[in-house]
Amino acid sequence: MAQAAVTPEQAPKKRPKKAMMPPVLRGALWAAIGFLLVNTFVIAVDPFRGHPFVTGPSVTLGWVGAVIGWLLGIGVYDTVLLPLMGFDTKWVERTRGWRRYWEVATDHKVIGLQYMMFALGGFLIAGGIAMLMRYELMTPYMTIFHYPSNYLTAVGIHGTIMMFSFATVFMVGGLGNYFVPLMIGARETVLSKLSGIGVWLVPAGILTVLFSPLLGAWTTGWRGYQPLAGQDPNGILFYYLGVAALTTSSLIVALNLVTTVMFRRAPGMTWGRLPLFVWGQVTVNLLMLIWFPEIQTTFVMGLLDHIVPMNFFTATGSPMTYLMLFWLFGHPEVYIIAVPAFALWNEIIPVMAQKSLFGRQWAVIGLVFVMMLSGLVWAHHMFTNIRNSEILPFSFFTEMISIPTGFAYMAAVGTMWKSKIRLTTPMLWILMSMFNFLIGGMTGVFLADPIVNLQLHDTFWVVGHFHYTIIGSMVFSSFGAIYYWLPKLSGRTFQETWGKTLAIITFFAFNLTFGQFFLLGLHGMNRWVPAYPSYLQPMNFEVSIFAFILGASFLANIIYIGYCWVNGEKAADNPWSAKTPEWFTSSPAPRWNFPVQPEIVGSLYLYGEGTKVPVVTTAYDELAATSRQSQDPNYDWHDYMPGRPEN
Amino acid sequence: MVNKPEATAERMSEQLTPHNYRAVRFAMLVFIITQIVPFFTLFSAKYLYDGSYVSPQANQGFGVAVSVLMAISAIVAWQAVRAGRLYQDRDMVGRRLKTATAIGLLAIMGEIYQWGMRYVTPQSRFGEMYYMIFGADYVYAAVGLIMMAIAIIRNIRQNMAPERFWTSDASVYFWVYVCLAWIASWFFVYII
Repeated sequence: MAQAAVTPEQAPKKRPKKAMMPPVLRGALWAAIGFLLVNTFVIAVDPFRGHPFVTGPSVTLGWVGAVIGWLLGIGVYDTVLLPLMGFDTKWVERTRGWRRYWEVATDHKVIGLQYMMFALGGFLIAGGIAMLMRYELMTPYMTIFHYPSNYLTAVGIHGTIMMFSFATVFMVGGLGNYFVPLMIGARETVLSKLSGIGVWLVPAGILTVLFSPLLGAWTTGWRGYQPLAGQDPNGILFYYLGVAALTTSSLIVALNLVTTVMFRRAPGMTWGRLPLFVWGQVTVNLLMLIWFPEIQTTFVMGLLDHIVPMNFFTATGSPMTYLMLFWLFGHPEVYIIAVPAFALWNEIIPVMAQKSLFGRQWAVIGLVFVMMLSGLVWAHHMFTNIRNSEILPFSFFTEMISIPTGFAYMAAVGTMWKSKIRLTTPMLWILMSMFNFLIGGMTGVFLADPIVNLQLHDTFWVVGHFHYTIIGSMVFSSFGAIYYWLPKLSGRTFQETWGKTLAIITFFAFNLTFGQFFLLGLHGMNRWVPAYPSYLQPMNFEVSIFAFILGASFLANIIYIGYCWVNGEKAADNPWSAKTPEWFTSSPAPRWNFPVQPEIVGSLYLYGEGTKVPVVTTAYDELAATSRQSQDPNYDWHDYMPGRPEN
Repeated sequence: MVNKPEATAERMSEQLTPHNYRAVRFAMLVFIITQIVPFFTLFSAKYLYDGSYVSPQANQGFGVAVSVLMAISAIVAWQAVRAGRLYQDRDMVGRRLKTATAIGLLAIMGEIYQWGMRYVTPQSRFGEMYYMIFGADYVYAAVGLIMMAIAIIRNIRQNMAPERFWTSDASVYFWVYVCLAWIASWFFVYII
């Protein structure tokens, strides 16, 4: 490839010599100031709430002040606010060193790693809480939690952080931000500054939910169920607010990635050639753009129910309305989490099989139809609450959604059929993910049947089902993706023996934990209870032991990946012989991804004799590499197309 | 007349290319479309809770006046976009942004007056949805006003070349959405 020539005007700007307070510290300080100012102001104008300093309304508005202070402090003041209003700014983005991960960045790769870092933090926090829950359930009476409400708060924090800051964030915000631009041959995302700001809402959201018990217990779980929430103290407020921050962050990711895919695809990257993983991202981004504003509105109504108070969802209002509004979002949310995993299966399998992807169009159609049908099944979460006549259509659509889901399996199995598959660590994780999601899907078919559902509702069967679908699809696929892309992310690789050993331990620990949830459910183990009949103790005890092993195995994987990231052997540029564009640049990719604009000239999923290299650089761009365009942050190949009048 | 400074070289480096301009405009429009969802949810809730009932205490006169003012504000704001696109006249853009903001503020003040008079009690189904829907309007209007203020300040401080009108364009896009949401709210709360 041509090497770019750097002229003096392109030389990176130096940071000012005067040391600025570390952005994270400044953000924390400004957040505290923002909270105190707004909270005090609200108390001053509304002194009739009966509490000396912190009330429901004051803490809500104070939180808004804190988040604004946090974002301004972390870098929005320098990077956005001043330039936006036409003032000069001394802020210069760091391009190297660990500090660039701790301030606002515009490089999508840095932002992607920030998302992964925060999501992993959330995963470890929520996983730690899960360990506490399983420790509690080792005995049929209460031990570490003194009141049922404490246990239920732990369940709620676990579920909320897992769903909104890990499951939704890691694959879309993390892997999506990092790899979508690379995979479409783009050199930057469209809304890079906005994206760089949005990621900082994730730690704000996680900490808000984590510290919600400071305001009192909340007993609703990750769903914030009303009218139950109406009986809770103010802890539920931090649930609503934390989720608002996390969903806003994901909304920004969706907006940025959809726009980037629309406008920044490399020449030749037609919709028909778009990588499967990118298709998966686009479909879930559309779901997020539709349903996240809906759930945010619902949560604002729940918040006002609590602090004004209103009666939208209480006994004098319409209690079922909340359930409807929540699950209208809640079920698409499951697919927001799972669809990128389906896409990943068919991204990695053809590479490991070195065989053309079977039924590529059907794989894409499957993703799109899952997206469309996901909005038609919400009431199956409420079979115990709705009329028989209303159950049937939702039962029908729930069973129908397994058909487009099956397309992902069809493409994967068809590709593996008669191939000489390389059973590498990423491939192993993907196969495990497919197995686990199959169990989750099949147990979901049982739940789609109204008669069975009425028996199993509110039992551990349901808990087993959704952990198989969420962990089974998203978490296992994410580990597969991280092992697959580790050479790209870090330039280093891992040892297959260690990778496979850890994968196998995790797989068995997972199945021995959650597989027994189905049996527990059939034996009558209810959800949402810290105490249970003593005949269930033996199985609960051993489930907890396997859960601890599972937790330890996840931790061991994370530590091992971190170790390899720093100390692993140097990786080859394209160790898997993949064909997607991210492998046609150095590892890790440089600041603008590719030295020159690549062009896509063939399918990314065709293997075998006679297939050509699908990613090339055009002669025009080779020429351009010697000029300013090659390192221009605003470079856009559309603007330099030969034949444009200005050229 | 404020002495408008010339753009420095550093500021000039953030110029939008035509393709990027289309991209950010697309993103802004998608964002605005997503923000229709909250009002769709609220209007559905209003219909669910309260059907087509309109409280006789709701002041129809204020409702109409506020909506008309918002409509005028939206039209004037859109003229600012046209002034940028067709004439590339920075002063004209600035004047229209200020006029649109002033008219919008007047409309908001009218609605605040109605809230202050407490014509509608919040202790009723209609009242709950009335305050909820117009409360959402206030939040969006506050964001819209901040964006308009930023566009006005930028217009004063910076020499806006044609591709630099995007800041004011984006503010106007959002402001027009705020105005339309306000008019739709009036339609759903006061009329049907």
